[in-house]
Amino acid sequence: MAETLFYLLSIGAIACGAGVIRARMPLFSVLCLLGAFFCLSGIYLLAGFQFLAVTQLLVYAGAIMVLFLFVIMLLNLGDENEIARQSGIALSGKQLAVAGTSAGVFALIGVLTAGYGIAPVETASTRASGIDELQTLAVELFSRYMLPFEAASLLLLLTMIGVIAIAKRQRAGEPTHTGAGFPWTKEPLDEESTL
Amino acid sequence: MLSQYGPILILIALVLGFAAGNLVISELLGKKTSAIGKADAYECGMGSIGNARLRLSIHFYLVAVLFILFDVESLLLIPWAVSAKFFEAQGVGGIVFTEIVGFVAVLGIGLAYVWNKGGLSWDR
Amino acid sequence: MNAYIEQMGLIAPELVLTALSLFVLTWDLLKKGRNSDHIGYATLVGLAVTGWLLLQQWGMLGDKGTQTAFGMVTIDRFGTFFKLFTVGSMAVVTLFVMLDKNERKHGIGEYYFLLIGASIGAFFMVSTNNLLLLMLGLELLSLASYSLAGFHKGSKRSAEAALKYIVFGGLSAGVMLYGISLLYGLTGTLDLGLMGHAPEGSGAVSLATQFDASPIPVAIAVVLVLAGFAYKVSVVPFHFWTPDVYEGAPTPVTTFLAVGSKAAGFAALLRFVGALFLTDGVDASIVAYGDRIGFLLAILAAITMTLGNLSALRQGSLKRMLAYSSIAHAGYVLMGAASMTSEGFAAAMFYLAAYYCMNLGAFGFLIYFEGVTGKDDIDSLKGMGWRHPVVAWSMVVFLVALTGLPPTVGFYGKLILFYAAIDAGLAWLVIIAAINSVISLFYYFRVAKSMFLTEPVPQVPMRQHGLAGILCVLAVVTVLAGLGAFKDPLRGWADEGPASLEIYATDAGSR
Repeated sequence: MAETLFYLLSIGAIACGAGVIRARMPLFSVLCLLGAFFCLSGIYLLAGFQFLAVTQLLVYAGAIMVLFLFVIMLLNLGDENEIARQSGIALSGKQLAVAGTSAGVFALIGVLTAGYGIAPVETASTRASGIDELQTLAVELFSRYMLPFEAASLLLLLTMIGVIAIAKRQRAGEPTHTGAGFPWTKEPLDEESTL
Repeated sequence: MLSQYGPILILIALVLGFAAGNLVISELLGKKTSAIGKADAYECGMGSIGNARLRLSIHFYLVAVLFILFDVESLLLIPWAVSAKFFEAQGVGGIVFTEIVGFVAVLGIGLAYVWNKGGLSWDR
Repeated sequence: MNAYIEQMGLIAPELVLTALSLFVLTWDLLKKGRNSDHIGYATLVGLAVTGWLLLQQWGMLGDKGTQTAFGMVTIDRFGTFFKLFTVGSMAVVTLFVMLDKNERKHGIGEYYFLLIGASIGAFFMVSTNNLLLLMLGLELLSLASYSLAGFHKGSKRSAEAALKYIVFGGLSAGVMLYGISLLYGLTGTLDLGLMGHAPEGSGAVSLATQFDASPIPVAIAVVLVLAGFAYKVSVVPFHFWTPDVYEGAPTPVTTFLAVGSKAAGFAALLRFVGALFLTDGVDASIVAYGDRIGFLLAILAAITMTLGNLSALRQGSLKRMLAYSSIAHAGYVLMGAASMTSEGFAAAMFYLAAYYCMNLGAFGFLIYFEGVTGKDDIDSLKGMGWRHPVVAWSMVVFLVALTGLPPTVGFYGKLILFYAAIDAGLAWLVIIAAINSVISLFYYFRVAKSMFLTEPVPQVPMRQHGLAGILCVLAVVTVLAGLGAFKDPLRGWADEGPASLEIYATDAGSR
């Protein structure tokens, strides 16, 4: 039962992944990606990682998906027929070659890994589920992985500052950049805010 | 192992069934009219006729990224929240709490920065 | 509790940098973005304190040997060597930002914050045996670099640079993470030391054991991780982003990418390869496999230096030319890693130190030049030699060093790299590298020719005394470091690195 479910979810994830790159419209790509995230979350559940599964749904399917949608709307790709003509209908030889090579490499990894029958090493921490699983995670996170935990806060802070530095509009009255080689142009995206 | 997810599956089925059922019932029992103004937005919202591919302000992107960052922050705090008592019982509550304070303080500075730069308000 | 405080002491340089970054950010907020020069000075003071702490640590390590903090941060002379140079290059880059005419001078507290954040990432990268912390450090460095590359809002080239950087970076980080997860699945540990040699009862399986059982998955995992490093140091199949990002990013940022970021990538690469294949206690089967990885690196090095140099020949822009030249230099440094001996690793470290001096200088010249003319093409260099003689002569010194000619540190660096490679039986690689040095002479000389041998074009004489002073100092250092009195201590420090990684000295005859 679990094995069948695993294969079903894997096939679903791969099909959705293919859909992401094959969809004609960017919004359909995003929907396919959402499907892939749900399948992955199911696989995590099968493996017994409930917290990871919920995190996957909350962060990826919830937040990051919204971000993708906003970015697509932000870029306003315009004429969708144009996009469809460029990417959707036929793959060029080059695209086929790249896709084929990467698919081949990953298939090779899969086959070889399966063929050699590697037994993944059981780690020392015993598997538990529910609240116990979270507690095991907490003990590891706050003792052994204390430094990466603190470094993660720095990483989040850095991202925050970087995003503000790049995306925030210049304050009125603040001198703009006047580099000789880089003429300051008005940010066109902010001018047309529609909502 | 799988059986413990049975209630969740039932819940998912109920949710989907409720949503689909409402659509079907209103389609079957509802009265069809096409009055002027039916397609207009009520109180607020966008006009329903026109191009759906609007260009959004970059501010949406900013809000989305900030949401993800604070989302991840709160997720990282959950393991502590559920096992704070356990740590207290083990006698390491103080140390773990210090870690949490450090983590939140760094992001608190980030919040102050974002707030100050106007990342949280819509205009500016 | 005391143990915690003691370990905090070990990571004091990182803590000081973190405090500095938070201080800079808060101060910029309180000052409302005015008077960013003060923030620059504060950064310099903080970096000086960090450097002093690192020097203390260097001395302490001589007495006590390698230390580990929080089970993840390895404090050894190898890491401290790179940290010292990261701090040094950061200080020079900070000065460049303060003196660059093209940078906005108001509200750039974020700029300093991101630079410091990037160097914290570099610190973690160069001094950890744990792949999780390595990845975190790499991401800190990368995210800061992405934002910095796109810092000139409104400039199309800057935006393009940031976009290309983030797309390539995201892809290669994914590839590397995949490799790391395979390694974790194979060995059950994220610690490089345990992967190389797992004692009984550690709960891990050494990579050698898994390699005997199933060589191909191990090979794939190692190659995938190496691909991530190759991207960071722009080795050839993963170099496409380099010219565009270097060209579009603000020039001080380019300097940091070319010097600090690349050296951190190389440090992590050397540590990874060293811990898995070259340390004491590693099984013979995996050592033999390490030799094959070395051969792979040698081929990559040959392709990288050749392609970098040939592309640099055709560039009209000085910035792009320096970008391709930095690709070529990545190839030279890779020779040291490819030789898979402690001698080769020490040579790579020495060459990176030399690379710090000469590339900081060359990019500093570029900033000066852009400040004077507003352009970055080699044709606009005409007459620089007569109008700005001090700066132009400094540049000549850097060019000579980049080519690898005596009496500069670049020459000596290449010499020991070549020796190490020959000792490791890579004579063919040395021949290719020598031919490449001759090729590089052409395009480096083209810059000098443009500066001195052509009629000056009329231009507004603008003096930037501060920048000129730094360039002079760097030029003097570049020459002096190649001379006996300074070169030998530097060589000694570089030799400490592989020793502190516990890489056994292979003797040439046994190969």
